[in-house]
Amino acid sequence: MIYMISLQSPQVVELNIGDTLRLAITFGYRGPAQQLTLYAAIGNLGFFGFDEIIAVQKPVDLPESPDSFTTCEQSIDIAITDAISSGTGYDLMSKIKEFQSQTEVRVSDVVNIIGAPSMWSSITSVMLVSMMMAMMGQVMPTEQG
Amino acid sequence: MKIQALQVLPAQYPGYALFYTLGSVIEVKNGDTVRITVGYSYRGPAKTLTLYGAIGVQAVWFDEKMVGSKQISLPASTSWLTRSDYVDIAIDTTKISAGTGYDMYAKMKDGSTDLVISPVVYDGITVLADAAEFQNFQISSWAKA
Repeated sequence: MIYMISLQSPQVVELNIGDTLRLAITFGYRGPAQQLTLYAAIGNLGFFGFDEIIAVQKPVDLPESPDSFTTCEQSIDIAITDAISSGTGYDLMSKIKEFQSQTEVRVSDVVNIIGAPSMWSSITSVMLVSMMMAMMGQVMPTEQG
Repeated sequence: MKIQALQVLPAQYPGYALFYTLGSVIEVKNGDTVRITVGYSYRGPAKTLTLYGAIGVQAVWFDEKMVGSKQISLPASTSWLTRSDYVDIAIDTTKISAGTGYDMYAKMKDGSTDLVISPVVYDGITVLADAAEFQNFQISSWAKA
């Protein structure tokens, strides 16, 4: 058996309040056609399990595949609300709710929440540009007629 | 009118019935039939009414997921007759999702008019998911949408 070890760090995504995080979920499925519940959450993986902070779910229709595994791809969106604090190293979790033990997966330290872009940071940016333009005006005075 | 007894007629074992005491939780699978037996008293002219049963979720109103009904012929009687009748509800998991805590009730209808409605039996039914297998369930990507 060959084991593959990835030396690449998992991709970290930085989000603000109001952003949406889209997860792509892939799996093989064997069984009857049925509608199940895809569930995903952002939170913290700890000693007592996964502490969910923002969780979402949606129904997914799985195809009839009685004999062989069919590859399924689903996506689910998590809206970033102020329920989550600014911080780094948040974890992701996803599962099929009705088959938790077979499906629950987690990815650690892949979400940083920067927080909402504040009004002050916008004002500061405008002020900085204005000050630079004023300084350039003094260094390079316009030609007088 | 009161729900007196609950049975499950398993799809897997035709001709057999599983009896449950009220207050226990019934576990059903796709293709099974839930038989709701109601007790009531009747006095009046000979009449054909509809015994109607529903499984769903009681919220502000009862969200019916699966229903069943049958015609009941009642004899003319000047004194109260105590009767019991049953209605069958076939479980179809394309209409009701696998999950716990489903509620049920029954009622007697005259045409489209509800004559008498039973109290709701709460959290009495669990719908089991069909056998299914998953392979390599993973969060394959995550990104800002």
